Amino acid sequence: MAASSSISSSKIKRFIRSGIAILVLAIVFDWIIGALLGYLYFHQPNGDNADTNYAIFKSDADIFIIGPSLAKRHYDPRIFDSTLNLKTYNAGHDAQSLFYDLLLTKTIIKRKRPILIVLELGAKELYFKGYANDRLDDLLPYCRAFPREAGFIINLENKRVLDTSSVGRKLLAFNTEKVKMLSRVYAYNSQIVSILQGYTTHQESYSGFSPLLGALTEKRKSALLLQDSITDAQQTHLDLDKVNALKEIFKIVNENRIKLVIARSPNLSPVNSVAADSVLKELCNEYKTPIFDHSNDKRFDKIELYHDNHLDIEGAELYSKMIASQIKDYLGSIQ
Amino acid sequence: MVFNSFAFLLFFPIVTILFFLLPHKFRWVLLLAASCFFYMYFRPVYILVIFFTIIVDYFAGILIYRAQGKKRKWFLAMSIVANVGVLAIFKYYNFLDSNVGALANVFHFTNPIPALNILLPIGLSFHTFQAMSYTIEVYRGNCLPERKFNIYSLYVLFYPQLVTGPIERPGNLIHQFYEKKEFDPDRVGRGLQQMCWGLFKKVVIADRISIYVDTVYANVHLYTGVTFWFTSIMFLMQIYCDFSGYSDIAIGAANVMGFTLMQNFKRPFFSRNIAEFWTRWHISLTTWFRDYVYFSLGGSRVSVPRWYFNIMAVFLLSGLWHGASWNFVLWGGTLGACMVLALIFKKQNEAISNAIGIQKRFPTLASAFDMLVVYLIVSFACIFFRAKTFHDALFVIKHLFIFERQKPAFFGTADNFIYSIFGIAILFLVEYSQEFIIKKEVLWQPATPVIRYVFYATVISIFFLIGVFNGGQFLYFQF
Repeated sequence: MAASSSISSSKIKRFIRSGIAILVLAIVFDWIIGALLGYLYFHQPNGDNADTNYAIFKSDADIFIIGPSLAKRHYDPRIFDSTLNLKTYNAGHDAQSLFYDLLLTKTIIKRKRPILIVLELGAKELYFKGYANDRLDDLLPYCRAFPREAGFIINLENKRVLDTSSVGRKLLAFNTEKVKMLSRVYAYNSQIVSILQGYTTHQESYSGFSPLLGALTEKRKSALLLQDSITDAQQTHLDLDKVNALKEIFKIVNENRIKLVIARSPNLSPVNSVAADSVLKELCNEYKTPIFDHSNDKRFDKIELYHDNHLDIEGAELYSKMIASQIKDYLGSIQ
Repeated sequence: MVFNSFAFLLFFPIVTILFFLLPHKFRWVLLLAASCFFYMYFRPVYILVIFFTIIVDYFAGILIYRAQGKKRKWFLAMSIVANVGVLAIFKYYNFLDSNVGALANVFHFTNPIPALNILLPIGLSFHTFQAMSYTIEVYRGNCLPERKFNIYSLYVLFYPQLVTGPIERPGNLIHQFYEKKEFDPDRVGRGLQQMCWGLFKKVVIADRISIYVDTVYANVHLYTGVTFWFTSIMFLMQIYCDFSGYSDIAIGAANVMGFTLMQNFKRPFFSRNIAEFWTRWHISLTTWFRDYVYFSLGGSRVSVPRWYFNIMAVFLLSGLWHGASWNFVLWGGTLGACMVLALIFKKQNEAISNAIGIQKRFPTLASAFDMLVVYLIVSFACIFFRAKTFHDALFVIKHLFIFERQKPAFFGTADNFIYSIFGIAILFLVEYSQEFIIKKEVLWQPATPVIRYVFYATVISIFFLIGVFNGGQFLYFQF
């Protein structure tokens, strides 16, 4: 009996030792892999992330264009440079939302105060599109690099994962994202492929602007319009977190005495949203911010100016000239 | 509480440590309290539903045992009616009501019966079936009634298998609550390993694939042809990793505490025919239907048409068990029809195979081909399982062979696709080695401790690197 219990006790000791060894190794691996991924992420030479990193860490531009893919694909900084005589950088990012815009505004201002920020803001940008479509995970690397400025991302991520309908969740409610962020690797969750793409592929980019090449056919246009009509119909209510993010952008730029312009570029399937427009108009009136709305601009009602549901390079050039000229007039009028 | 949550990460070690610290005679109190907490974490009031069936079946078991002759049947019927009645109210009432409404509309009547505005208690179908297996086993004389109410309650409520099985049998589980469980480090290690593997399947594979599958099924009208083929193939992989992942965590968690639960999945994608597939997929449910429905109908010891009828009946019922909608009935019906057709054309199939000689000349290739066919058949049936509505399912099926240039094939984002394929490749390697090389239900177990530790630490890093941490529910929770 004594022998059996001593074997059992030595087994238990070995079990505990193994557990500790695995835990220590896991922490060491996490630290090393996390540090390596951090270096690789913030030193990507190409791609959307590289452009964003440049905007945050290096760019000395006077004008920053921010927003989702419509910003990245529609605004040519070279035209802004020549029209306004101000150095412009396009910090738009494919598939991102207002949370990205807020993060960018905060991080750029931390290093440098630009003269103007142009925010591309479609009517549907203020709508709830579902947890996955916000792509908050993609912003986690910045939460580690800028814990203060990007802390709101962690709170949002936690809030959106939390199922508040469950009683137990309320009992054990704590910010699980903060716990997950203790792992250095977690900040780069699902980023390996995008990091590798940043090193292996080359995306033509002019100060962050990535034009699209190619033509749109009538059949493809019909398919895209159907797609937009279905997804638009599913977005039925305003996302209060996005409304708050927008309010915060207005507040931050106002406090830092940076001029803000809201722009809506031409859209293949423009939507009218009374709810979003009233929020936006109220904010614009409060902060005396202009809105340049080209979403229904008939001059862009031509299939040859589009590539899928974005303007192609020709359309982007035409639009950039228009908007740059409008901004020039606006800046002239307030001086 | 879901297994892939932080709450469970706290709950499980606390309960396990307390379990081993407590003297054996008090452990049932801990397990029962922990199981109640686990269930009430979702919606506390529904614990009353479980306790209703527990009370009914506890007394039914004793009464069946004591009674003689026809009375035994009456008591069994009472228990079954109570259990099925609970299912009928919570799960099937609105389904029946909507069908009555649709039928009434045809004859220009208004359905006067109002719909119930209630949520389905989580795992209702699972614990109801487990409870029913108890009274049926007592009736058949395969086990004695459990005298201790607390132990019987634990049989139904035991938290690892409470919400999505495996659907246990009294003969396998009840006696284990009486056995004194010692802390066995080897067993704990094996249990934790199985839990990790289950979590890997859920977080790294199933939830990753679901990002793609959910996108397509959210708007089926935007896609055609190749996209639907790929989505169907991926959905079967998703549901397998989701459900077998949950089973692995459940079995592993029970194993850590010294309890053995029945195996629920046995590498079903290595099945060479549909019949074999059902001996490897959701084994606890398939054997439940086999033992309590199929055999009761006469099984295969009846006329051939009746045999086919029995098979169809079991599959249709299995479909209805999964969900109260025609989609699930059609899912079961499709699989049942495939099973019957395979039996009808068995001889012809063998004759063709022999004539070509492929089995003799290229046995591996022939087996791989058979596995592929089984996978595709089940994937096809699962279109009904996944589609939101019957119309969506029909749309997908109609468009499987329609290819439109303006709707190019959609495989999801590049990164999501790559992570999914990576996860599936690991799954395949593990299951292939279990099936053909080591022929055991264990994961890779290097003998050298250092290599083992490095392996586990790497797996943890992979979790954080490519896992999906959005708190996705397990698909089978809805049943």
